[in-house]
Amino acid sequence: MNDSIEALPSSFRDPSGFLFFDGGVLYRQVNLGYREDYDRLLSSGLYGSLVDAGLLVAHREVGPRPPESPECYKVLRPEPLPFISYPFEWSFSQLRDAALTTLAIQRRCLDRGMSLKDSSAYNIQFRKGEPLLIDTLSFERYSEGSPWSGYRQFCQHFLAPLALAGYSDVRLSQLLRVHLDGIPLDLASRLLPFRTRFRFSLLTHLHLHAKAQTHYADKPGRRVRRAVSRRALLGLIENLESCVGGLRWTPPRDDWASYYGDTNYSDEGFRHKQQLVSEFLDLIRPKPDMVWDLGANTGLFSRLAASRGMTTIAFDQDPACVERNYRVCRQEGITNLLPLWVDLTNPSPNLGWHGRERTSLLERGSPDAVLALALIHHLAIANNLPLSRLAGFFGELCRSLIIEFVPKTDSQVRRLLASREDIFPDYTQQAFEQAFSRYFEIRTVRKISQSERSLYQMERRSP
Amino acid sequence: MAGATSRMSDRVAANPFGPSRPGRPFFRPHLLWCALLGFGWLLFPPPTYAYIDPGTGSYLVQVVIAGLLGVLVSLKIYWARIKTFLRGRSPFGRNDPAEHE
Repeated sequence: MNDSIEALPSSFRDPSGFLFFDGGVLYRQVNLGYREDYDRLLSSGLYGSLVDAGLLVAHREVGPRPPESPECYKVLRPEPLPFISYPFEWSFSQLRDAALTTLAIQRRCLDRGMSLKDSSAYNIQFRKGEPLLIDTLSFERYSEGSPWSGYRQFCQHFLAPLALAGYSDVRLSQLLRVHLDGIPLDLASRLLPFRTRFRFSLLTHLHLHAKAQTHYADKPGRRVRRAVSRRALLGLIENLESCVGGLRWTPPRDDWASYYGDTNYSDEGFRHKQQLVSEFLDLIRPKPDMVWDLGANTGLFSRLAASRGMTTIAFDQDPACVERNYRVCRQEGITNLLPLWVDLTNPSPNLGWHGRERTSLLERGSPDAVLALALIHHLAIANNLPLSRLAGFFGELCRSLIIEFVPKTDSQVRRLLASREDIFPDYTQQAFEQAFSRYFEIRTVRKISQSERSLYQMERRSP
Repeated sequence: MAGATSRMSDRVAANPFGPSRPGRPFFRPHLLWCALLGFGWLLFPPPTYAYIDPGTGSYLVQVVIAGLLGVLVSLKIYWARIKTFLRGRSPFGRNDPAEHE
């Protein structure tokens, strides 16, 4: 690495190369030490096969970025991705699809005399609705008898959170946010119900694996050299595939996911709201490239943005909503909508070494437009957030805002206030407009028919 | 590795496969060597160095599970071959369309 280019804070573990930005463009340097593996990746046809199958991010080789680093072999310019998401922000099926993608890649690797040298969930991203590997340096030449170096990581990053979500509680996959190198297997083994010991794959890959890790943790470092034949390795991959594929989580029916169906809008009111959101989205100039739908529920309104060709990210705090949203996107082939599991009152922070290895949600992207529908009352009343702070947050986040104001007379707000003292005398439509006018120019306001609610379209004031 | 090789050579010298017929050895020594060396290589492959620690416990678990699953894969393959073989000999086997005529 030289003085003028600086590796991304997340790009330090693998000595094979690193990622860096130059002139706002992302590049990946391949170091000389990785030369033979990189050449084999291309010459074996593995790269072409994975890129054609949509399993690996495509890149093109560019000239060395000046000044050339002495250990530089190649500089690659990977195909850019619209947004980087993290495994603890994915729903159950997203994590499962990412796991199956990793195994599918490892299977193709073995067919071409290569192997994945790691299997970090952070190396998988969603592009056009499908998971793919983004680390071009994750491959190594396979030699007969070698085990899979990424096995431990696969069990910790994928199998443990999926099994915990499927058998114990879906919220346990949030342990990934605390344990960046995957959920420790002894912890997963403790948290999983006893019946999981009767399933061969979970017994071996998680429970016995955890025992073996604990048993050998304090043993002096003796080098174990035993063979794993290629056929055995394929058997392992096949078993992991059937294990992961067999894990299920069914979202509960009585949650936010049924919010649209049983509350506050008549059919006509709901249709009117959809029509207004569509109109407002069409009004925004220039047309937004990136839209964030905050509190997106199952993504009905996010799809209005996505259907207009805008890359849309749908955030919700309820894993059931995110799961349903993702399933619908997969079923309907919606490729520019990414549902993510994020609690807006506690969004993903900076994590890892130096607090920079994994970046906070708000540093990872800046939307052109934000949808905040049926959200403001939850933040202001259920979370006691003053309107001025809410306005400041949105003012920092986006240039165009489509936001719904839900007054105290609305049935949902009445429900929020039913069991607590009303300490929100300032929560009025007038105070809302005043707070937001500090940062935004209110362009359009329309009342949603057959409801108490109003929909606003605002544009950020020039600084 | 060197110790293992010398032990192997002792075993080869003792010829565990019994006396061979004169002029037509039961097991050619160089083939036996190749087989034993190949087996030894599989048992003691060169150490792999990964930039992430695969972990001793994880490594051993993988060896055991993969070994077991490898046997199952082999059984599956042989079973498929047996089925194909039997189907081929059956009067309605797919392999010989002439039998249907």
